[in-house]
Amino acid sequence: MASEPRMTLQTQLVLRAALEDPTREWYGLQMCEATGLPSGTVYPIIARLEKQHWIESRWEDPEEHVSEGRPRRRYYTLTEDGAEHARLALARAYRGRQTSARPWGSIPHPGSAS
Amino acid sequence: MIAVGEDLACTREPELFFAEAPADVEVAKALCVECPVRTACLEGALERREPWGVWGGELLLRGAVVPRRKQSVPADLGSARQLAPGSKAAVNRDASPDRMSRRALQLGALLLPRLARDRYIEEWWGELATLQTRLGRCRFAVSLLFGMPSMAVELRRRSRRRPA
Repeated sequence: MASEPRMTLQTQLVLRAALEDPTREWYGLQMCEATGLPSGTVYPIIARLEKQHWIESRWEDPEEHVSEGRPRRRYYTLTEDGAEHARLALARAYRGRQTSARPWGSIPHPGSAS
Repeated sequence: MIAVGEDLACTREPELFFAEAPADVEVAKALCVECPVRTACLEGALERREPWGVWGGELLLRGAVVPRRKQSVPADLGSARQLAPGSKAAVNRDASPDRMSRRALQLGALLLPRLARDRYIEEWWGELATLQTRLGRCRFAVSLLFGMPSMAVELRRRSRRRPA
């Protein structure tokens, strides 16, 4: 069973934003704006997802940031596996929410690891 | 390393050392001449790749000394902070909190594993440099400081194998 980051609501927001265009590269501040979450929430999630290889990152090419006169950015993008896992995890979280209408409903998520 | 608490010109007038106008930059550099920690200051700034400002008598931009003949391009320094040329007042007013945000993040990052630290400091300083308002930069830094413990936990977690 593949290990999976905890599907907190914030993590779901980040994944949903990243999945809007799975091949697009984004940087941390952009993710803060896209999700409306503060940097202190977004970066730990990014760190976790990167550790799990759901996303990968690279430094911006010098041509781009030097011509714009700013420091280089760290760009992130979903890995192929990561996009797949993210879709499944979001779907599971969504189903989980729907079926947990009863109070205290702790529905076991199929395939959830932690 | 600059001796903290010493009465240096740059601590008395920090704005001058992050000014945009060439004349101000020259004044700042002149004040460095007599400074007891001038060499160490420049070395430290180069090592930390300071994004901008006058350090140890030299104007630095994105971690490198700007050659003197090229210093008639203040617009470059302005755009490094995403400010319109001529908004000197804005640069001056924003200079020291900016440094504070950066220093705070640098200190907070001490919680992170050593191998990851430099990368995140550079990443966050870069984001700070593109944020337009002082409030925005402050918010970014403070929020990150609060998130630093969970960041540290995430980064120290045992690395898991790539999902099959």
